Amino acid sequence: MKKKPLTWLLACAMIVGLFAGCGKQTATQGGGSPNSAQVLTVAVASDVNTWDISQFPDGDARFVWAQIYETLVRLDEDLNLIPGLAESWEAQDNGRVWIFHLRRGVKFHDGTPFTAEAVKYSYSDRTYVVQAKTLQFESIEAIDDYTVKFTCKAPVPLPTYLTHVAWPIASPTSLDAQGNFVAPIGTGPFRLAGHAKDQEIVVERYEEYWGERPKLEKVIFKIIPDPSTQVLALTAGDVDMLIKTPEQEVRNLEKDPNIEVYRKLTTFTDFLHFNCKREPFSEVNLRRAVAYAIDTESIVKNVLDGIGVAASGRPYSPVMLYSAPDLPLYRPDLEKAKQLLAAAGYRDSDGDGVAEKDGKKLKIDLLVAPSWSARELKEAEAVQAQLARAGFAVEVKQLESAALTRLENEGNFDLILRTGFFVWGPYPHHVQLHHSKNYRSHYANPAYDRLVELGRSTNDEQEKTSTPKSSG
Amino acid sequence: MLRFVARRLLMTAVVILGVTVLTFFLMHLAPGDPAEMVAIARYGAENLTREQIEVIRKVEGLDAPLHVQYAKWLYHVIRGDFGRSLSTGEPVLEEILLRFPATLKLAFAAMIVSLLIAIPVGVASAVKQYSLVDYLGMAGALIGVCVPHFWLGLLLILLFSVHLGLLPVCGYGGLRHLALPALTLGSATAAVTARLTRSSMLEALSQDYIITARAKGLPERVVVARHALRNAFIPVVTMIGLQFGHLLEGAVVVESIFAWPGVGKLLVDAIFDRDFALIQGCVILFALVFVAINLVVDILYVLLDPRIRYEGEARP
Repeated sequence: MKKKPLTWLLACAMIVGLFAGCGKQTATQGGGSPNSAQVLTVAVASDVNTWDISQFPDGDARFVWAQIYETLVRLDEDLNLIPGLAESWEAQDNGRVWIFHLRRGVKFHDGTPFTAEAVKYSYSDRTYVVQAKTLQFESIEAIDDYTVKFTCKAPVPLPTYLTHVAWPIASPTSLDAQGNFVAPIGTGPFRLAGHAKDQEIVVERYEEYWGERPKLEKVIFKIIPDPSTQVLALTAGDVDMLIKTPEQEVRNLEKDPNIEVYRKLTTFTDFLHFNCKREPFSEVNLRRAVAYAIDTESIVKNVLDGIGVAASGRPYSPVMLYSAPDLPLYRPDLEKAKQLLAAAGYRDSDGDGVAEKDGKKLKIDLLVAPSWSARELKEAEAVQAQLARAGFAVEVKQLESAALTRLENEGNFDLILRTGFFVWGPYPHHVQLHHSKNYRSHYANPAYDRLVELGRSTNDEQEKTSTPKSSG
Repeated sequence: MLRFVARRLLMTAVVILGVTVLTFFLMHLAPGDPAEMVAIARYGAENLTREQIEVIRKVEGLDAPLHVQYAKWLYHVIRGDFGRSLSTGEPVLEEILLRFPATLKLAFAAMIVSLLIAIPVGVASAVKQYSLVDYLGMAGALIGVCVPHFWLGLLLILLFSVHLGLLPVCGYGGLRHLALPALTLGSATAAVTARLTRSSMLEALSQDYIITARAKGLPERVVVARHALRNAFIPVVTMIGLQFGHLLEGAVVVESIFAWPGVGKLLVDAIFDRDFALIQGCVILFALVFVAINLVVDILYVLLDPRIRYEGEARP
């Protein structure tokens, strides 16, 4: 499938659970806070929309969740699976049944012990992960207090999924006798100490934490929606740390002697999503022409100020375990792009710079809803200019996300520029976006579907490594 | 006057009903499937399936015909139940009341800043027409109207917080936190009010009663303050009333820059999420505020100019 010629990765985001237990404080750090030894103030762009595992924590809420709640399985910095609340696990029945051996001596923030019952509650029917049908269980049994058996409806690499911070372990005491949600009660290194809506969230060190206790006594998450204000707050010393630094500000921040910028490549990938079900992109040569016409290196260098890595056709970030370093990448080649267009019957016969076929100009719409990051619009404009040189007349349409979703559902688009999407852990789940069963796919290829399904369900590392390569 | 107020209050209900009908049906005309947007807000775009969207459509009653949905909503509102936010599940009234005081505080402070700048500048410009004071005042007003909120806000933060270290960059709290957002929001309205005050004062100063007052030998200060300004104030009061309403709902950008937890951002987020219950709640609130302000403005007219009388009242 040819849907990813354009991919950029950003280095400025931070990994979840950064300061859990390890005492490492900063992605970018200001020096001004008077009590920075014990209290860390972090700017986040959005408030926690929910504390209850029956809903989905979105945006920056997940960074806060990761301090309070923990998962059965964790990821290390290189995205390898490591023990979390489960010390070990094993698969049976080809990955349909999973047994998790739980860590002993762990207490929830209200003092109740962490046992198999809490795991059963955390994946019961009321929880988001089950409601959303992302994981489909036949049953979850507590074999004893510290052993849980998950029986899935189909083979699935369950430990990978259970690293997701939105699907953590919460105490059954989070609910009152009537079943109403009361408070977030997790096992994490910090517990909730205060939440002023749209203002700040305060978490304090949990003294009975099972792991290494954090050096910080308190972390204050200040909600500052505007990215420019976040940067100014860091510069003025009102906050100690930013989680997502706007690309255009990084260079300036690096010049400030009081601020340290830590860079790390993330799993996020910006990519173009083709509508393969209608002309012109139903034609593979047109998709290839786009891939050759776009110079991702130049976009990373000039538009993103050198932050990130040019994907050049890689479907996902090279930091992912299953990425293929030997994958042949696209090099910008305008002549080749024009040849491919010509092979598909598109030629600029009237000399206006726009190719045409049967008298019809090669006009395409590029949709973008820059809600996640302002960089998306700049990227879209760069793509527009680069495609113009090959003979495409691109109209960039900046839309509100609901309007974009409607056009996408209707199949009324040519190209969409989007970011991230279903990316966590070592396995590139976003390949599922292009599975023909996904209602937003607009692409149908039985061979691709088969590979995605195989990659999703197999527990054979050899197969897992080769599958995304073939599907990507 | 009392009858007038009573009638106006009665009209309020009609106005609010009309506003809710309009917003409800207009929002449904906007692109985007509300069930899908609610599903995205509730479950995230990452894992969304058609099944989930259909479940939400059914459970939230979004599958019923529009007029039925509206009637159901209205029935509950009349009984004091504004429902729950579709995306967060929190009670709408609670969500709004939590943020309304912050918005009200900001709007009042901005209005005070605006008047403190606008009235002296407007009056001075009119009294010293075509002087340096006038040119400077009006140039300042022109800049005030043209400068976008987000830019001015960031400049003020740079100056007062980053360089001088006098005020916090952002956040909700006391006067120190309020100063910069109020100044940002107030300056644009000050510019408009200053221009209006100037032209209104100029007109008042050219009236016969001003010549009479001066001929009586009244000091210029008294002529300007008591005779001219009072009469010039009627259009200004109308403008201030309207501006106050806009300050309440139009503070979105300022709220966002200064991380001020007001209703503006709540409403914008609700619109993006197609959270009808929350949108309607905010709309009712804003409609109430507008009606109340208009009522206050009408009453102020009478106090400012005794010649203005409302229907049914005997003329002296």
